[in-house]
Amino acid sequence: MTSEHRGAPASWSASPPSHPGDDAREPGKRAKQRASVPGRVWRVFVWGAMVFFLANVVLLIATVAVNSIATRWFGTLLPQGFTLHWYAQAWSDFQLASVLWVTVEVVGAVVLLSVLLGVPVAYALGRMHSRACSFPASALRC
Amino acid sequence: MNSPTFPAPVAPAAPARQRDGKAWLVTPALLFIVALFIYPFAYGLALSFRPMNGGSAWANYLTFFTDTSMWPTILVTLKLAVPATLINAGVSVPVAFALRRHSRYQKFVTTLLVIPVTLGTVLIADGMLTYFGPNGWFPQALHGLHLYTSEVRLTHNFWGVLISLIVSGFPFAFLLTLSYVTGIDPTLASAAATLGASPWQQFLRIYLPLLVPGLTMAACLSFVQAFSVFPSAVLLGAPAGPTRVMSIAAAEAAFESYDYSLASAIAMVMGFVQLLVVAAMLGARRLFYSGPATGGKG
Repeated sequence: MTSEHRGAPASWSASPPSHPGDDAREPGKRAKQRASVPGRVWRVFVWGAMVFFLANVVLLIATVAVNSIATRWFGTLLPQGFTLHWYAQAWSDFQLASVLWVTVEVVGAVVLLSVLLGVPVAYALGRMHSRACSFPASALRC
Repeated sequence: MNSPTFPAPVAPAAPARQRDGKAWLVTPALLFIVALFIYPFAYGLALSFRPMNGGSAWANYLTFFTDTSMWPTILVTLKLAVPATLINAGVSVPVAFALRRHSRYQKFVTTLLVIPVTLGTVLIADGMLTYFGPNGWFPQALHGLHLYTSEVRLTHNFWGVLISLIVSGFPFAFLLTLSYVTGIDPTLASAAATLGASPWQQFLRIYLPLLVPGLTMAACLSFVQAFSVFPSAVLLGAPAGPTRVMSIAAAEAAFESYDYSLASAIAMVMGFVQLLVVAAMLGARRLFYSGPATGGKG
């Protein structure tokens, strides 16, 4: 699939210059001339919203990381001090080693069972055309 | 939801022997579904008609629809799940559309978006409590930039749960929509462009109709995911009031009052509401074009 679409822009960029709005790949000179004002505003809006969302997600995750090594953190930009104390405490208090091992066991079993059960069905349904490609299977793009 | 796939080994053209071979490949998964989904489902359904304290078979459902601590949970859950679905599926379209070409932006955004999906609800809830909390970075930034001066309350209420549903649900809807958008042959839009279609017309007349089946699936899956919200409704919401969703009511019945029968009834109502909404969305999809969405294979 990837190669198929990798190939697409090449033939596509040779299309007549009257085709606008596809400069995400190469925001070249020609593309800038072509883009209309509302189109440009819309693109800025979409990218702005996306950057805002992604920045928040990244900071959200960073908060957890910072909090895990913070001594005290109330209402300031950064914690008062940093420590690895919590990691040591979590390791001893919650028997984290055995917890991790249980998690690994569960994950391994899930992956193994999913592959063993899922791959044959996917193969069989993939080989069977027509009706098998109805609603739920279409989610998997058959 | 899974059942319609599996009784499908009726490929009319295939020879009988080949079909048998394929049927054997389907059997393990089919058995698995029957044993771990159909049977528990039927068991729960039967259990919901056997009230713990006796009475008629419908006693649990009567309790649910008359108790004011229970039936409003349907509305509360819908009030969370419907906006979350609309935002997740709706926003994923322009974003996926902007990223439909293979580029390093696409790779970068996709990678970043996979992170919240991988990390799971509990870590996101923990991060949100600190980040969006009254003294977190987000309110600090708003105050620092003088965008909003009064107290920012985004945790332990409706907004906290909605934001967490978007943080964990949007990447999912986006990745699904992106796979559909990239599957649409760009030469179709080029053809329209040679006939004078503006970008907006290309989107409206070419991409959107081809995208509707995929978008419906993305919306259905986001809705189901949002409707069964539990951890974030407890951790980030106000589980006693504004975000007392159906799963909380079911969990309370099952694990606090040990009334598994009532809990099963609540779960059945929950499933029924989900089914109704999903059926409505799939029904609405039939109003649109439903031919081949790709030039060649997807």
